[in-house]
Amino acid sequence: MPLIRKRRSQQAEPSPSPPPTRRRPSPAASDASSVDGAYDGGAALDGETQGAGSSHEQMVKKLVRLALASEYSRQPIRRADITTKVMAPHTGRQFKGVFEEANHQLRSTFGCQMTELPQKEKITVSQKRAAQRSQTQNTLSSSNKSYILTSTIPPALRAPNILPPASVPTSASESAYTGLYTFILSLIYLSPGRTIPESRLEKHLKRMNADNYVLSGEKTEKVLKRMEKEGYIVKVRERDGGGEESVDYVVGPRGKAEVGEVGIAGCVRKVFGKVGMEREELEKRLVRSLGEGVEMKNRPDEGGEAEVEVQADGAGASEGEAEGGGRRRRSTRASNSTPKTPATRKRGRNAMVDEEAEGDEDEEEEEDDQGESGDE
Amino acid sequence: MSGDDEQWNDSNRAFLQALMARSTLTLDEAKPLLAAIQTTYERRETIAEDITEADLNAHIAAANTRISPFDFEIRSTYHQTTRKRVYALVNSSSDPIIQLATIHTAEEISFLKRVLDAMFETYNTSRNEVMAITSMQAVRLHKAPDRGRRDTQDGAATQGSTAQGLKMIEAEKMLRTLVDEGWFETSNKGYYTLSPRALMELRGWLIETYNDVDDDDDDDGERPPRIKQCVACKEIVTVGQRCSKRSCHCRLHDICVQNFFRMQRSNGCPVCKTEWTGDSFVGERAAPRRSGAGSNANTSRITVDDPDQNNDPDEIDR
Repeated sequence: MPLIRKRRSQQAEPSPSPPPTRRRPSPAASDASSVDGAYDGGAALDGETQGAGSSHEQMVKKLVRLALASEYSRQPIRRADITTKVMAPHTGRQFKGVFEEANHQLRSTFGCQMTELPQKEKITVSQKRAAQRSQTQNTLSSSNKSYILTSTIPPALRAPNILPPASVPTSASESAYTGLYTFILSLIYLSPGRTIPESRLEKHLKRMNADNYVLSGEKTEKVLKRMEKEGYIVKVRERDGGGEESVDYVVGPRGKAEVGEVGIAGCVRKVFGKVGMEREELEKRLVRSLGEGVEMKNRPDEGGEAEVEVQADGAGASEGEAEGGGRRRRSTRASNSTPKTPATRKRGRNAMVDEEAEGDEDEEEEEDDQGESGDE
Repeated sequence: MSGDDEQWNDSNRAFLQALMARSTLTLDEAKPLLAAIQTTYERRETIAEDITEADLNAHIAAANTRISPFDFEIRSTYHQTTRKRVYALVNSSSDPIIQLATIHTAEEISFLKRVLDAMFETYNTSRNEVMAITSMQAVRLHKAPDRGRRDTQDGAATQGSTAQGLKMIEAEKMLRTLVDEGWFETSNKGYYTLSPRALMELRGWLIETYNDVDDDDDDDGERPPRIKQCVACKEIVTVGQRCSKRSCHCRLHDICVQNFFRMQRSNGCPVCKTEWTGDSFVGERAAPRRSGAGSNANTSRITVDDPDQNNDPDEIDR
């Protein structure tokens, strides 16, 4: 993705440098140009049947690009943005068609799709009241819907040796971040009422030696803000009758859609790594805490095949160094902990990011004791 | 733009996502990746050594067919000094939408623009075609210039907050991030240059931005364009060799020189026929007053002011 804007497309360049190897006609190289040709041909065809058709195509293409671009910076794809940035004027009615076609293209070409984000929960009393007042309007209107991209390719193909955490900016920082939010989400999911008081979260973070700084050297506070901004977690402030303020964290829309119960269950399984009887016990508990959605009924016992070695990539090394201190780095074993649930489940997984980044593990493993206690 | 077919299945999609998740891919990196994909997808053990360049190219060709309707393209180029071929998925058209795809603020982007300006204008004179910048020089650009910004490309800078620039420490961090993200590379001597990835992605933009729009053709341009392409491979040269005649705008990559002159069977500049001395440079070796061991096989000498002077044998490695 570009971080600099370009004014025109490459084709218009006066000297579009031909691919570097002219000696060897590589498919990649020759393809670049031939494909352009093919596309132009296609466009020309469309051009003949101008009108609605081509502008529909245009909108679909724009929406696909909007979706991919937004995901890069973890911005939700807002319905309102689609209206202003994608849809041509006076085409509001075509939204559904464009959206469906774009989602089809995303699925078939890129292996991901736009998944609607759940509405923010109304947690505090005042929020609830406000919601009641304006109920029908707000909750049902489609104009404030938003979406994120979630992967549609089989979990097995999302193992970290295939899809490492995206290098945004680096794979290492991305895995550290992914690890931390997965950890925090696990804490919230496994806490009573799926809400965790700020003080308790701080305690957990302290045990991880992440109460002040996190792996990347950034301030924990700042990282939590980022998670909030990106919708993984929501900070809820509420004043009770006595005027005392309580601050709690709950799961945010992106947290639900991207990680969700299934993701948390997968992470817990990996962390505990139980077998046999203990595993059954763990499964029972998981269902009790996270609901039946996380049951592993149809899962073949993963073992050999799914186990993949994590390459000792830069992520590991640099994390080791960057550790603010204290956090042990375990040798990462297979970390294909992506839950293998049937595709029908709502499984939110960021297309570009693999949650089961090895980064998760060092953090998750320490969560054991606490996750459990929260569970009981 | 059709649905599922044999040519495009989940293994291709996984490959595409893997490519999108990294800034660049080399054949060496692609081997274990494709092996892992095949092992998983076909349920048949494939080892990295089984993967050939043809396999990679087939994957890339298939992907290009699918993604070109969306103005994405997988390009490849050679690294200018290591000669490694790198592939990257780049965006081939600019629209406001794709501008969302950044994790940087508008201020950071305009700092980057200033750094690029410095690389290709300030430190890219006909005398010293450095096309690189030291971190000192770059950090000095942390502030936005006072007088109204000139010619900001379609609003990259203007759309942001008013010209505040970055703090020096932020500028330093931004430079590091740009390296991490694969846009810049650093040399042993501390110069930042554009990475192959950046050159691929920004190829058109650079030429458009820094080369005068008027000089439509390369021939008989009195003032050579700022961004020059290698006579052999036609890619942009930011590190390489130049014709010893200063007014001549013939450039060659270090990695292209040998083959080129062997093919040409003469040692003269293909444009002006001046003898190719191989000791006039583009890149940090052209920087004034900064000596030190050259990282390249060619020479460590800094020949700047005297491009016509002939080579001292002891300073030429080969």
